[in-house]
Amino acid sequence: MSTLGHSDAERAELGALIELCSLPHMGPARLRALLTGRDAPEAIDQLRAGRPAVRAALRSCRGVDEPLIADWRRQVASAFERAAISGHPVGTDLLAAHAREGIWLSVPSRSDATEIWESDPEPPALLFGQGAAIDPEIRRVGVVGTRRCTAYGRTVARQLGSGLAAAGVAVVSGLATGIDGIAQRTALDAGGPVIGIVGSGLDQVYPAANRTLWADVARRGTLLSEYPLGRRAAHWQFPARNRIVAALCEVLVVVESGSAGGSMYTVDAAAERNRPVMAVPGPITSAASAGTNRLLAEGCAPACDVADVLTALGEPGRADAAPASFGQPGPAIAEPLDQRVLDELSAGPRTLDELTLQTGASLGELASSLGRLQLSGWASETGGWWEKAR
Amino acid sequence: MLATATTATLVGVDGHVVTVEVHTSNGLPSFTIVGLPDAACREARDRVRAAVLSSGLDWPDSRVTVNLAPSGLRKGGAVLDVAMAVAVLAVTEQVPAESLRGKAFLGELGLDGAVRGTAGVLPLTDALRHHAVVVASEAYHVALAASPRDVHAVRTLGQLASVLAGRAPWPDPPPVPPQPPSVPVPDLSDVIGQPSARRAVEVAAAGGHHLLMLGPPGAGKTMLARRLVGLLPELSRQCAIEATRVQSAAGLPLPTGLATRPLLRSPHHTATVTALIGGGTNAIRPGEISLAHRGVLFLDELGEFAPSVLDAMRQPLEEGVVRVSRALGTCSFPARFLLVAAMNPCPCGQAGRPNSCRCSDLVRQRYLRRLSGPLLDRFDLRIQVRPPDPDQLLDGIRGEPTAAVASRVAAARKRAFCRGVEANVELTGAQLEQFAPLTPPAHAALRERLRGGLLSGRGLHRVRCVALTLCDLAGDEPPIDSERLAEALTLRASVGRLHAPATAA
Repeated sequence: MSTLGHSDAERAELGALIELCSLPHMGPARLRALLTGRDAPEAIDQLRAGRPAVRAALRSCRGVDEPLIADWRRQVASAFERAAISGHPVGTDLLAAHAREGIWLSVPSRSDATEIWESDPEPPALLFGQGAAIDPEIRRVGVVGTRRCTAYGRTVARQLGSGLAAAGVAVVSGLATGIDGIAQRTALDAGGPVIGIVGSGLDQVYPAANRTLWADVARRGTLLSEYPLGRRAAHWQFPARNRIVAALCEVLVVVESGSAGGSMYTVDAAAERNRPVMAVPGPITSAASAGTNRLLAEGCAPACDVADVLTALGEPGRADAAPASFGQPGPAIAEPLDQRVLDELSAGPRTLDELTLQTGASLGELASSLGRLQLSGWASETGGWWEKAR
Repeated sequence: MLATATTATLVGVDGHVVTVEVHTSNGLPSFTIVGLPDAACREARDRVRAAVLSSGLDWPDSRVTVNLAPSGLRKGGAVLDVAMAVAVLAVTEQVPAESLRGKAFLGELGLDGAVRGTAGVLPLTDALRHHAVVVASEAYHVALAASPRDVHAVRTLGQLASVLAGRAPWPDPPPVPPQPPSVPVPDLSDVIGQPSARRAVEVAAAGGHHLLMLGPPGAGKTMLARRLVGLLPELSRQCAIEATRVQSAAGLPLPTGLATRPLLRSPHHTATVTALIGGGTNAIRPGEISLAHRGVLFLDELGEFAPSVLDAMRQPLEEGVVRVSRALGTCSFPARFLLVAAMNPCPCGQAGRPNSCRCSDLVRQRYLRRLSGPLLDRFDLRIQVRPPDPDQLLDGIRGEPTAAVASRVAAARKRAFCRGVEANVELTGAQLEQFAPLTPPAHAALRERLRGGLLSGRGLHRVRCVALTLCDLAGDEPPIDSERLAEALTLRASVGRLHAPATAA
């Protein structure tokens, strides 16, 4: 795993790979074009020399033009100059910089987790990791969903996270805002294994609000990225990240997703890799469940509780350790007003004003009722909108 | 030859007594003013000379020196004109020098000898409380509000000279001006639906609690703010004098003398720190927060104000005064106002509605981050204002009119007054312990909130204060029960939630 203790040949390969990864605008498809039919030291040598074969391979990728190749050649040439001055093979300084940050490198084609990648159509050339290595003994379930989730989605993501953690199954996801982050945070808090795959360099936290979650995953789980230190988040890097989520999970659960969203990339990538995809049914009135409901209509298996997911994983026995289904009854409702409020919320999110007008209660009565419902977990509030949380 | 007359000059919102000394001596005819006059004051030379001559009086053919004492104090404005003119008349024996004794003169002169009113008549007259003050007739009622020993109103310098020379009696005071055609006060019954916003406006008026309204454009935030002013009771005499002093010093029109209605100030969001807080290059002038003293300061589009401008308001919001220090000197301005602010929750205005805001998280966070936490904390009432339902707009039942709500507000304010404050917002922590005890269930609910980290220590104090106002509005006696507490907590909805919508719950 560590860059130390490698043979000279391995070190030369890692050095060339990391140097290629660090080129600006270098992504998985371009790397694959570069490394098809040649190993990394050969590829970097040929790129530096500007061989027609390499140029032709790169030109076949979308968006690569001669100025970009010329820029890469300049970068590679300066890397070779730096290497010549220091007397080490090319890329040694980058390897050392990553080692200093406690980041390990893994070449998927040669790593311990080979079985994940050997049949993969688009394996990453190099993975940067923090925390524990992926343990092939631990089963992995992907939990993904929209960033703009509803209270319903949050509840389901939390229950999935804690349920899978209790069953000893790793939660694989993208550490994003919304469903991804919530499922991983809950799994982490329940002491379960967590694998987070991010779409930027491991030092470029995105979204910044999830900084503590990143640090906790790096410390207590596995944090992976395809990109070297310093690479900022860019739009095209997230779909690429999603294919790694799809590749790493054995079953993919979509909690909430609009009909066009990043989660749908993950679903397509999982289908391509023959990973079973499950969807959590949602209200047909909710835009946040439009995508998941469509998946169900197209024949996806429904995920109605943690046991469904574990069964799909082939581990139904572990369901005993997980808490019961999503639909467990909440605490009883004593006040008639609370029931009226809840009935209103069942139809969708409401503002305080709408609730006042629809229930006819005074603001004080309503505030007390909503306070009780919030405490007992029946309702939740975001930015002035009240939602049913169960 | 020497003669003196008394007048006053304005520093900030306070008047300072100034003695005008005029000396004539032999030499080439000239007219010099010494004693730190500012530009407007130095120009008095030409005005005074022209006014004396146009009034049919004589100007001395000698060397005239005017000294403004104390000479260390910077004198501004044209308010010293009349005093200079009568001192010149006294030194040339056109009026007896004794006639100036015990009197003070405030007013600007026109070239035709007309006496005009100036800014700051109320604080100036207040500084001259032990004199009989002579003012322009348009400033008579403002001067009267300071209750000086005596006030006389004159129209022209010639008239004043005749009175001082004993040739005529003091002219009759001008009649009480008719109430200006009352601007129709917008009525609360125009607000349709929006029960929580109506309630928040009522509570803000009753308790003096600062109000933040979050809502999309067109939701009626400005409409609500304008109606809030109508709910406030008439100012007490003490408050009216405090407010009028500032308004008079700033030169706002005061047609009826004392400003008895609370003022609504709504500066545009491009306002600078100086415009809002006070200051200025030539003289230190009160800012918008002082002009809104005992009234309402409405900041629309709060998110568009420069963050430095908003943060400058934090200290005055807490203390009710602002001390502006400049090289010229330091001034204290009163600044106890009701802050009403409105802003969009995010650039598209839909933030919060699950799955409908189209702004990216980053954009939304950046928008709300413009408000510092300490400033947000000053708002006891933070509500979401949503556009009313179209059905309700078309055939909704109109809400309570201003008059009905205003009477509840007045009753609540009366209770606050019995506690020794103008409004509940001014109650200290110790006073709240005394006046706002909690029932055991309310106590338990608060404890739970505090434990859960949902409420800060300061928040606890504010929520209790709002709950007390709710009691006052209902006419109930404390202790505060859990229903009132829940309502107070709801009216103080956390804006911070919007910072991280997905991870908050």
